[in-house]
Amino acid sequence: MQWTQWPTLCEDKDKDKDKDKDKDKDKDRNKDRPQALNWITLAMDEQHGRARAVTEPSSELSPEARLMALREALCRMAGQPGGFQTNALRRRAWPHLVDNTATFIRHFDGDFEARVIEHPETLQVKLDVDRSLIHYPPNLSPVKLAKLRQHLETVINAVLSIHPELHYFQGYHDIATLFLLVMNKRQGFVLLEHLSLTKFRDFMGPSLEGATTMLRLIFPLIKQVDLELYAFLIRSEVEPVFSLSCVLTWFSHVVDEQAVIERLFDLFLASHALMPVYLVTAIILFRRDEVLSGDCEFSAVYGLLSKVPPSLPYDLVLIPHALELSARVQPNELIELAGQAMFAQRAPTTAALIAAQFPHKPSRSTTQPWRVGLYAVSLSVLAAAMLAANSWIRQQL
Amino acid sequence: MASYNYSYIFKYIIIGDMGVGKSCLLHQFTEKKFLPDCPHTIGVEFGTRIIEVNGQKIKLQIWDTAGQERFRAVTRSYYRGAAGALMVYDVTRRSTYNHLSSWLTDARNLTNPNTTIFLIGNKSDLESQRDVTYEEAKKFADDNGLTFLEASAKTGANVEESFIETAKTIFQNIQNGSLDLNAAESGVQQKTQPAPAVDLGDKPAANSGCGC
Repeated sequence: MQWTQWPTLCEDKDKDKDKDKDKDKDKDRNKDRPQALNWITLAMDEQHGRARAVTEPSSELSPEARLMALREALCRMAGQPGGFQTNALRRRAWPHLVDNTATFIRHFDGDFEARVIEHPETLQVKLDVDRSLIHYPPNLSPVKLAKLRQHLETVINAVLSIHPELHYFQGYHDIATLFLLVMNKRQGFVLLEHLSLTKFRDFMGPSLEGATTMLRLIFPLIKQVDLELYAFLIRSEVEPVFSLSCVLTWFSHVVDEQAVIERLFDLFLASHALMPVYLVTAIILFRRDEVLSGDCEFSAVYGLLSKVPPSLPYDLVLIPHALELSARVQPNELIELAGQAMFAQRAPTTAALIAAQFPHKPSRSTTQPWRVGLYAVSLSVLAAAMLAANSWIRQQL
Repeated sequence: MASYNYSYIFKYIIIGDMGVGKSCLLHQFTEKKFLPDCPHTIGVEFGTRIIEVNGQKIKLQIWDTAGQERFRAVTRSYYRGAAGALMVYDVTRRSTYNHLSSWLTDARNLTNPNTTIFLIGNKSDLESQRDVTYEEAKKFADDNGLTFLEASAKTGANVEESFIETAKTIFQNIQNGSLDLNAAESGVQQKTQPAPAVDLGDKPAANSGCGC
């Protein structure tokens, strides 16, 4: 079996970009698979209080180093075909993929259900939960459905009650649904809370600007790899809003197959916050002939690209391509490219948005240390990139 | 070279609170069937159908917007250049009716003065759960100069009529000259036949969100 061709997901700052060395790395990657499984065995044993029952490589390492190594192995595994494959493994793996050591995140450790209070979005959450869990899982009994919906409502309301600075968006419940289908209620809450404070943070501000700014990275990325397609898209005057639901919900709103969404969540949990943008881009590139053979006109292109076809070859083509793209044009580089493009256009809305974001930047960066690419897509980062003052961001990504 | 089997393109938007059935109405109109578990819309979705009005083939280009307030920043840019606006509420939920003034203000402010605004009271099949009377909504429509129908995306009642009546009004406005095809953002594009790729209508402003 081959586990080659895919760059590692965990960003290695000193990673050699030289593609000629890929062959040499193949051997190492082939070793990752059994090694990753060993580390997972380790994690399971730790959970059961049997941390002694470890495999050879881990016993030489400190507990911190062991966890770090486990995380790296899991990240690599998430990029390989099928990701973590089973939900049993996901329940072990996903909690390791969130950085619980990030000091600026106020995690809630107590009885989260007791903290639920009425908040401005309570009704909206209820309305959305009431029409959730429609397409999957199959054959859900009415009793189980009612219970799952109740859990879903509790978990969402708990996050919003404990963190009143977070604003709910429709689609958030799609994400939460998936967490609850894979994890138990408590774990689901922990994951949702963590991601709401990190990778989804920019979607949960007072406005959706964080998300729409993220979408503005798609065309500059296409420009780097497919000029003909890029020129066509620009000529059509289409806007990348057609990808909003993919990016905002990590595809959970646009894909109907639970197994596919779970597999995509493996990838996104193990990657930097911009991975959904790379995957969206990989899908557009995959559909290039379809796009180019259609009318070069806003609504035609929008109508085509806003619908994600069923049964796309995620594992065979799209995820490897997204990973390749993210290695070729790395997130910090992409932000810089997009920043320059926008600056060149002097789009008044963008300028206004960035100006509006500036006051937030100092307070955020002085009180909250930056970790593992958090807020990588926030407007304040983009603004910094546009001012070519982002060397420190590069270090953090 | 492109050729068209229609003479005009009319741009529509569908607006209204979340859960009133905007996407279901669109689905019923374009696919002629009811989607019972219609998912919520994120951002803006898009559908088309070619209809015939007064012997003219017209392509309706319909932008279906998200109902949640949070998405309004995104959806508002799609109002520009709409020839028709379908404003939807749910006859079984009074709050969705109470919010119509806000939707109407948006529609008036963000479209051109000649945009045809059509009010739809959806879910008319749920008579036993009715929360807004026909008379009350009709008065609101008359007071504000809107055409009004109660419809049901589920049974299909009045769905065709709502979309087609709107098109008839727009077509009438073209014929009597009150809708100027050369005006910016008229929401109507005329196609010559057999058509070279030349638009008789004005090109929309860049980033207007309108491909007319």
